[in-house]
Amino acid sequence: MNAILKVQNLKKIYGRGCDDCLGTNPPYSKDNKCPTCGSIIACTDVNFDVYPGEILGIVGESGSGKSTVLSCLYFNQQATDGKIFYRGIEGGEKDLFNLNAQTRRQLQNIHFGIVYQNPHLGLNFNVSGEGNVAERLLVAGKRNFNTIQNSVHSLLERVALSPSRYKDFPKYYSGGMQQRVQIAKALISNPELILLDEPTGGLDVSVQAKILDLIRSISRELKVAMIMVSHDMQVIRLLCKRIIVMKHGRVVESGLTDRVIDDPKEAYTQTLVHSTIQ
Amino acid sequence: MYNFALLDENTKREVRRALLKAIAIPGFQVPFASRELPIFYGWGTGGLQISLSVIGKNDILKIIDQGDDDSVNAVNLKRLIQATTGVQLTTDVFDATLIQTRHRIPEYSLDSKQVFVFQVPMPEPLRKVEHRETETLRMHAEKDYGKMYVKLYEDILHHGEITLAADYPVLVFDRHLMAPSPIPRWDIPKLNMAENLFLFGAGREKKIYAVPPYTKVEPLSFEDHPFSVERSGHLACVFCGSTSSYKNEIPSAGGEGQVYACSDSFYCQSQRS
Amino acid sequence: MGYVGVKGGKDAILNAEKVVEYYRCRKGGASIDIEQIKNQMRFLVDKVMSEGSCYSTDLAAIALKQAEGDPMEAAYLVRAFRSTVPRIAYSLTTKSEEMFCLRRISPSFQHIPWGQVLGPSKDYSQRLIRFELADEKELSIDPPKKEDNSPLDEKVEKVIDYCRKQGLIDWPEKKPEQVPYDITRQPMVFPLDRSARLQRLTRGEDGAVLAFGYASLRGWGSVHPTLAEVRVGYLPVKIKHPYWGTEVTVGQVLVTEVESICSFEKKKIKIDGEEQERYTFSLGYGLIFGHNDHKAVAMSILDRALCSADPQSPVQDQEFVLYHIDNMESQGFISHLKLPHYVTFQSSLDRLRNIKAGKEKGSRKINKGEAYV
Repeated sequence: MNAILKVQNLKKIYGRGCDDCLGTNPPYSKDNKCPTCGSIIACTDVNFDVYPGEILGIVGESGSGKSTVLSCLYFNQQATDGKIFYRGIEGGEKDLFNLNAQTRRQLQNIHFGIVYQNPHLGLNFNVSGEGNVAERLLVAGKRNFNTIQNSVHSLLERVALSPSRYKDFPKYYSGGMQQRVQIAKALISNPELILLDEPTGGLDVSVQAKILDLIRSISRELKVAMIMVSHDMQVIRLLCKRIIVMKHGRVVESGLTDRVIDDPKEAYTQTLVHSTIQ
Repeated sequence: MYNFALLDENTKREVRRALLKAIAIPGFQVPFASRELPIFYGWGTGGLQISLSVIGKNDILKIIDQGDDDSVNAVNLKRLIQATTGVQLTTDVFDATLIQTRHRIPEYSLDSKQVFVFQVPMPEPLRKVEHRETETLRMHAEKDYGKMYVKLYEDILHHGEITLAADYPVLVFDRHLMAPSPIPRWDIPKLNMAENLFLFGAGREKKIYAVPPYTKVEPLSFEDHPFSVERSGHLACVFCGSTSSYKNEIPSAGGEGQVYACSDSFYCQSQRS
Repeated sequence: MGYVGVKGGKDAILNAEKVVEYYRCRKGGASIDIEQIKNQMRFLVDKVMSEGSCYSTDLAAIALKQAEGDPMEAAYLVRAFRSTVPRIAYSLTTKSEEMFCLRRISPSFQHIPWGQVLGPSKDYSQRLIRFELADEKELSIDPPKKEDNSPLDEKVEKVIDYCRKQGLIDWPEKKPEQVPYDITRQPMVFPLDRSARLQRLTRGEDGAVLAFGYASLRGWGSVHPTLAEVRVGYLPVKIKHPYWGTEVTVGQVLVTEVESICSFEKKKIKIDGEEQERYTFSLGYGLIFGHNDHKAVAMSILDRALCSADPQSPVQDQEFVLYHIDNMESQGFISHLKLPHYVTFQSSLDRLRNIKAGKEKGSRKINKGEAYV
């Protein structure tokens, strides 16, 4: 099976960087800092592929670089180095970091979707819930109001937002509703890949369970690939077949979720597993 | 005391360079330094700087404000250009080689020999949805016009109709979103595939842009909520009787009713004779 | 009917001009002498030069006379004239240590070399109307004695240079002589570099500079400086001789200069190839034509506020401050609302009536070709 997305040697450095940390396999000193120049190595030497229909998990403590990886993939931050290839652009031959800004925006708006932990990043709070979702069809060139509205409504129904709330502004929504609308917004353009950045962080447990259930059923139904970033092993175990474990900006372990959780090779992974699963 | 057409030659050259760039990239706003002129910023200084930079001794000049040749602002601009160039003035749209306008395109169509200059108060169409210049610049670069379309979507959702009135946003050459200046929607179709060159100057905001001849200019709309012009255009003019020209409303003294008159003063005159 | 289309715009304008001239002259009497404006309306003239962005007391005085004392209008006249004049040369960098000071105070240190010189300052005068001025006939006065706040007759060391020698403030980076970003000749593209920002600020409208600076001081921008020095004095204007290439002084300008010491910051700099941390005060700078303490102080606050890499408040935001601070632009656009808007308003009327017809109870859609009411 061909990968949808290939990530090669992704690196993000905060600070000016030096020959050491800008090269492959930078020196390591038990934290994110380059021992030579003191720059922050948010992530380095990150490699992975994403396959159609799967949910790939990225786990790690806060500060491990998992969200940085996601925001580089969505072009919210400019990666310092590395390449990514996406099946839908020039047959997966073109490095997305070399795309012009307009094509990159199309990728964001149409081919990829994203759900943020902070709904302010994903939604325009001064536009109705359904307007937020409609935006992605509008930028994709759809110009029939009724058709757009019907698609938006049927998706909002699918994510179980009450129809009486469609026209309301997201600032009047509960946290769970905001995430539902974000999920609908990500899905509406029929993307091949959805990025989930701690989508249930900050929600209470019962709401969290419903949102996770929604994500799982959507993934099965629509066969859309997802990358799920979370610090919560329970969440990851529920959704992901494959995971990557990150620490201090580096990948320390990867493999099938069950294998990694039941038989972790790294002490760090063990700690992660034991701190969350009793 | 003053140079031909008021501006010094370096300034005119700068404006003309900006114009060339603007014509090369239809609908794209080219920044320029914009001089302070003897009339207020916001009163047509952008259009004026373009006119003063392209005008020659043999040009025949027509200036209209809200369609009217004799409106105070049009008269004022004409006085200034004529005093510094001595060119011939006209109200006849067919005789004019250079036409400067505030907020109207004449009813009679223009031809390829005529240059048409708009005065623009707010050149940024995205200002309605984004106040930051650095951000709107990025949105144009990435053709990221989602916010604008959402504005239209929200209008229909909440009001049943798009609420944008004059200065209706248009997509030029399928690429750049452009503010056509506050012309009524009635005039928007005249921009599309026109024979003549349209130049736009925003003095206070320091931007120049253009629509070259035979360029596609399309108002934003939905298939099921098509672009529509003001209905008063189809009402009969109280002076000439025309039912196909943009009208101004004239309230009656008691406030009970109104009549309508052509906004294009030359058109109305010629329909009467 | 009773309606007559408004025609005769040209006559109306010409008549309005006559009426203006009538109001200027209607009481008769002696016409104000330009010298009188220059000499007795010093602060007004300075304001017009500063906002008009053109150093000429004569031009400012004539403009003020023509504008009947309206400084905004006068500044506009000056700017409109200025933009028709070709730029002959850019002046060379002048170091403000060379200033011939009429006034120089430092709120940072009590005792400073050369001392605190209040000069022509009204800071400590009581704001009581001097009614005897109503009957003043002739002006005549003896020059102040040397010990009465007379101007300093030598170059005076700057207070911030003392701070620099102490390592409290960094020395400015040495840059080769270069043509500055000229906001009157180059497009304004954000983010603007500091030289362009300073130009926008120094031409800014007095009240706007004051208001934005005040907002920052109150907490909308977190700049609460200590003024290192306020100076008023003459600076030489030097250019490169077009033929000989040598430096020539072509005149002098009266300016107000303020350096304000703002919060300290941590910087990483390289000294002898080794990276070191340095703590220094940050600096805000204000320099304007003429004598106007408050504008120069407010400018120095705004300069600092606009250096912010991560704006938290509107007065730290370049676009917010620099787009809205200019007299010509703001008064022009506000005033344009007086122009006819028949066409655009008609377009809005059409929209509102249509929406009312579709949305309000008991209404019906209006058909094409049908009157509205």
